[in-house]
Amino acid sequence: MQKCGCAREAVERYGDMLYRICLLSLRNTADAEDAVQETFIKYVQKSPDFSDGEHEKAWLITVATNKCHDMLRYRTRHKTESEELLYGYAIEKEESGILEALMELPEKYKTPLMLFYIDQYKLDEISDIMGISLSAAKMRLSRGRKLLKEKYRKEYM
Amino acid sequence: MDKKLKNAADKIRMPEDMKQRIISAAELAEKNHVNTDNDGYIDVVSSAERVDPRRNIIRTISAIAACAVLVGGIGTTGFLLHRQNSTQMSGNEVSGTECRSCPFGDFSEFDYSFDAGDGKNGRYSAETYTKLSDFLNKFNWGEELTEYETRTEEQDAKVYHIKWTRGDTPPVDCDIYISVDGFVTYQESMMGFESGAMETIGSKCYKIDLDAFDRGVQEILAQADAPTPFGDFSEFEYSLDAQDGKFGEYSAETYAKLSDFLNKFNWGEELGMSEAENDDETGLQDLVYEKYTITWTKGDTPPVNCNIYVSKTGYVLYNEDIEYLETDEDHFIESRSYRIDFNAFDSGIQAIIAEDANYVSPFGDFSKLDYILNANDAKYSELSDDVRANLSDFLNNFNWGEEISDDQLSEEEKNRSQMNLHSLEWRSEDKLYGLAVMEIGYAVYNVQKVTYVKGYGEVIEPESVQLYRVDYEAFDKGITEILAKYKAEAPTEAFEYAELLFGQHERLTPTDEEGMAKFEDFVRNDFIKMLEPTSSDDIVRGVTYSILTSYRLDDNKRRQANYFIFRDGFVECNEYKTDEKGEMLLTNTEKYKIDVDKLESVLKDEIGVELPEYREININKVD
Repeated sequence: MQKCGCAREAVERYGDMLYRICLLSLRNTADAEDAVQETFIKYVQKSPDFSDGEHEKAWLITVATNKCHDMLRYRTRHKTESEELLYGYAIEKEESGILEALMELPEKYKTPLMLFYIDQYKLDEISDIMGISLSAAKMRLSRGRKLLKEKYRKEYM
Repeated sequence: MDKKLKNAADKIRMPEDMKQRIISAAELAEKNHVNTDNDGYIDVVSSAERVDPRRNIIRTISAIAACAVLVGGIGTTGFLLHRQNSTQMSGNEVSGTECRSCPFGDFSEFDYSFDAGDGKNGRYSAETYTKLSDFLNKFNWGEELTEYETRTEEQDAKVYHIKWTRGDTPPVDCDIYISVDGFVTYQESMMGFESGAMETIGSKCYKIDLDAFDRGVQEILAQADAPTPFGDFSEFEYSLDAQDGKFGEYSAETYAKLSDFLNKFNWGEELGMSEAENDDETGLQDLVYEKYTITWTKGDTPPVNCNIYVSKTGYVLYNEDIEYLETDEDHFIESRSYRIDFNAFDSGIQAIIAEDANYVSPFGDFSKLDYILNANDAKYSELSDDVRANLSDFLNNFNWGEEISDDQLSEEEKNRSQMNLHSLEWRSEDKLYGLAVMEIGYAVYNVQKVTYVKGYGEVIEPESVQLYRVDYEAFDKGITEILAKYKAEAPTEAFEYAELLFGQHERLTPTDEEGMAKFEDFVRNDFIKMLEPTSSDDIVRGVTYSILTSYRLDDNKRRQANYFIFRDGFVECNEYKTDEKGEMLLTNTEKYKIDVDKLESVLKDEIGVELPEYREININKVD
């Protein structure tokens, strides 16, 4: 068993990944910062035991995605910053389109897509992280991919 | 596309200043973190131990308050407090000495929650709170006890709990606990700057006449109140989305039934804080399986959005938020969760909406679709209006269940090819739709795109396939019952096609599709009426036209009636039927007379058949 490390170490190691997930999910920099911060606060307060580094990472992703879900639910009409959101991340103009298309997808499709294509998780791991069945994860990924393709082609190509 | 997505996303990195802020916050939380026991509760803060006479109460209060910090994170303690008629944290400073009659202040001046231990957790109407405030203000609380009486365990069994928040820099939580012997404890607590946990900052005790208090309160509450923790559904306008594609568009009659059901439904007790803590992880996961959403708005200054989310796991989340127009932001003000019997809820709601006049199936309103039904291979395209109406009603109201993925089908289900099925087909301008209900218990909804390609005609491409888990037996029973009526009342055969031949071999067709439909209609109706029975055998010329017709019978057999029309108007009709071996046998021959000129006139002028040239010359000759 592995005990969770110190706050600084955890933020250094997983901060970028969690921030990316929260930013793409919430489409708002300040909200993403809040979600990441609350995730790390929970991490140090709960101080859970992890079987390995992957377990620790998956735990953080689960908490962060739940936080995002929570925030979206409670603030369904909060301001998004899609126009300027991706400025300042050295993303090429031609690359930003696909991220913008991703951000516009419903949350249920966005998360599996991010975990699969960006964080390279396998389907069974996604189903564990999201707490859904394997078939549901597969279906969401498949539909999400289709939706992303349609949206990207329609609006950004 | 996949690589592009990863490459772009990998460039998103947390800005350095943000990272430092998060590290500082996490390190502060780490530093301030007190030991957490297995239940997730923070152990009581040491400062509370100093208030000796009410140690047990203080421990409880501190644990609850500290838990609040854990549940919502810093700044979200307010989640747990009921804000009666309030949209913001109370900013009113109420001094405990300002009101002469009441030692705690004027209850009509601040927002408080009155929990009478009746499971409603203080959710009473504004009217009830007005009465309660009046009662609490006038009640004789007696003098503050200067020497604390001996505490007993029973005294910690609280009967009433009144709570509110005073001030905001920092906020002070005020609690009044009234125990079974009339012992009243008033407690003030606030969050410690260093520990982050709630610390007791002051307390007072009183002894009251509990019977008098109880009588007065119960009298007020008896006149109240809402039948559910969310209010009386029959008194406000809400929308219930059952994820059936209707988005809550039901009739007023249906909503009246829904209100009655929701008011009588057992919503159970609000989940406690420890359960709420767990639900931070599991409950919100449950909401992934959200099935029903009930939404409405209350108040208007500013309006409060109320939402109830019901998941298939039985987890229910209720929240209230305010949308500020100036900033276009929502502020969450209350959240509660419950666990219900989902099956009871689901079956109750489904039974009501299934009866809704506006209800349609996931595939559209069958009463508006021109579909053909194939019931176990027998085609029913010629349904009477009555039967079709019955059938459409049945199809619209059938429980099509949830959409499933192909992974949810067993290998046996996937591989089984020979099975009974009912299928429906219909089309729109550019799409073909097919819906097959399989004996093995699922339905396949198939949509194909139709494109017209010059030189090739219609090109059909698959567009989507969806699967639904359905009760085949129920479907089969319903269809069979309706078709039994059809078989009893309607003709026992269905028209399949009709062909017109010049002589006996050269096919003549109308110039367009409309003409074809007219021709088929003509053959089945006016043509039959034009025939006059005759006993003459005197055939003077050869066959000029043949009209071949085919009908499918209920028992899956076929009947053909072929009419051979001779130049002088003699008509011979040979009738064939499929025998037991599946072969066509001549079963009957009839003789008729017809006015050939009249027939040709209809074919040429009304239906648009181009008759052979020489025949037109013949017509002229006849004329």
